[in-house]
Amino acid sequence: MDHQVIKSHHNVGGLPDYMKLKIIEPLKSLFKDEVRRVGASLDLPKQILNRHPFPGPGLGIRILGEITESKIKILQEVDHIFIDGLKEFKLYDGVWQAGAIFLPVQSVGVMGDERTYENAVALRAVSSTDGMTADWCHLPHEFLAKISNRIINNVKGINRVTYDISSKPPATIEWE
Amino acid sequence: MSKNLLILDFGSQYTQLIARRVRELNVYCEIHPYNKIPDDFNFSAVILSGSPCSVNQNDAPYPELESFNETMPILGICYGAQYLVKHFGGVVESSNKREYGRANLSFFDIKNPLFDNVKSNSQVWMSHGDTIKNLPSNFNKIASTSDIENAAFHINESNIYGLQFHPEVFHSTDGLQIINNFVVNISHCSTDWTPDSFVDSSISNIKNQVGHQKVVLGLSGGVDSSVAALLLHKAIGDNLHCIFVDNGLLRKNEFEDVLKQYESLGLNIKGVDAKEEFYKSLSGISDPELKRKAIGKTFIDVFDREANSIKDVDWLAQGTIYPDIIESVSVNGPSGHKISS
Repeated sequence: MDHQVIKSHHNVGGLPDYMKLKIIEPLKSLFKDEVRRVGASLDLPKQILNRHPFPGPGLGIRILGEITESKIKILQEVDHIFIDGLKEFKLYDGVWQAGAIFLPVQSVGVMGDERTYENAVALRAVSSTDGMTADWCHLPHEFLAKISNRIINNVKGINRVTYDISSKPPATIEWE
Repeated sequence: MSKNLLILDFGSQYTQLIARRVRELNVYCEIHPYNKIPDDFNFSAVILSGSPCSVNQNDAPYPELESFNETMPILGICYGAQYLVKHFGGVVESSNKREYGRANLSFFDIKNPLFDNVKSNSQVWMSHGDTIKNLPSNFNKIASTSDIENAAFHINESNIYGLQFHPEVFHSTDGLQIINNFVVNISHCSTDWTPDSFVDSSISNIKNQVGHQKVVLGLSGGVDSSVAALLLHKAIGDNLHCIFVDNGLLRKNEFEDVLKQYESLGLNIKGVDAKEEFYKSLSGISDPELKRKAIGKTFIDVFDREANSIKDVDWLAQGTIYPDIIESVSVNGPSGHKISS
């Protein structure tokens, strides 16, 4: 699901006709794990080699409902805190794919003496070997607590953090 | 010349797993549909995959075994094994109980080279409805489980074997050993398929194919397009033009960070800030499919414009990997019901 749009422009035979270029596909005989091995033999930096898969439409399919620049900014901050935290706690390499989802849901909160009415986000982290099936990651509770705290304290507009505990199938990795 | 292996696909959900196991042995293999035996691929052994079909159904997929020479080593797995039995005059029947899941080899011929270094009572993975009732007279039974009499066979004085179980599945604990016995010991396939040898051969292939022409490649920051870029760059240097589009939907700082990394690798890369264009195309849309379509279309527009602004480009490079290719040519799997011929 997460690569549909990429497929339409970036994989087999998906070129617009008016682009009259010859196609060269140097990796077309390799499986994903072989691509990583070839990358390592070419000294591709670890940050790229071990990067989680990321959908072609990017955060566009992690903001449910209409996309606005302010929602993108908020989600980028949340995602950044989550991903940085996974790296800091040495959890990143054990996770297949992780990210945050902006939910079109507002809920009541209380911060200091004030009531708030702000958006909720979901965090998602899954383990998988090929993306075809995936299980939600049983991340340590202390880690989730710390990340939730950081997000609510640092990202204006978010007052609730949830964690997605669905597997694929029947759910998918991405929400849209 | 390397001795490679051909996998004929009858639509099994496990066919790609067979290929990955063979590749783990550093042997190069390709998957082709059962009815399209390639004439431009040089192979010296064949594996016949499993299938959701029964060899007894009217439209069962049959390969043209006659096109192989008589000494060609062949390993049939599940449906592939049943096909060999039927083809040579044996009997395959639907059994009253489907066998699915773990089983153990209660007997196997320890002297048969297919079972070199296989442990006694070895666990194997079964997934079949039909069963091999009678073997043709020149077939030797070489393994059984408590439920299945003919769990493996060998055709006398040949290099043709059949397995009712799936050695490619992780739960077949000696599966990789059995595949190794067939591919390396029996078929003598070359074990020279390594990342380094791939890099060397593909660099020279790219040089031959592209010469001094220009290539354009869209980078995404992901592993596939990055590895493709490095390979091409090694082969043709700055004649590779990379384009990295900021669609405004990337992670925080991703565009700047990744661009810097690519530049430090020496790639000839242009970063394109197209945020506004993407935001405009998404304005007012909340349906997930329409969002994806809008993002995809804007990407093509931006990429096409940038590619056209490079003078005299002849090639478009893509980070397509093997599973994409297999999907586009493969026979239908279990969910596709019928295999078209």
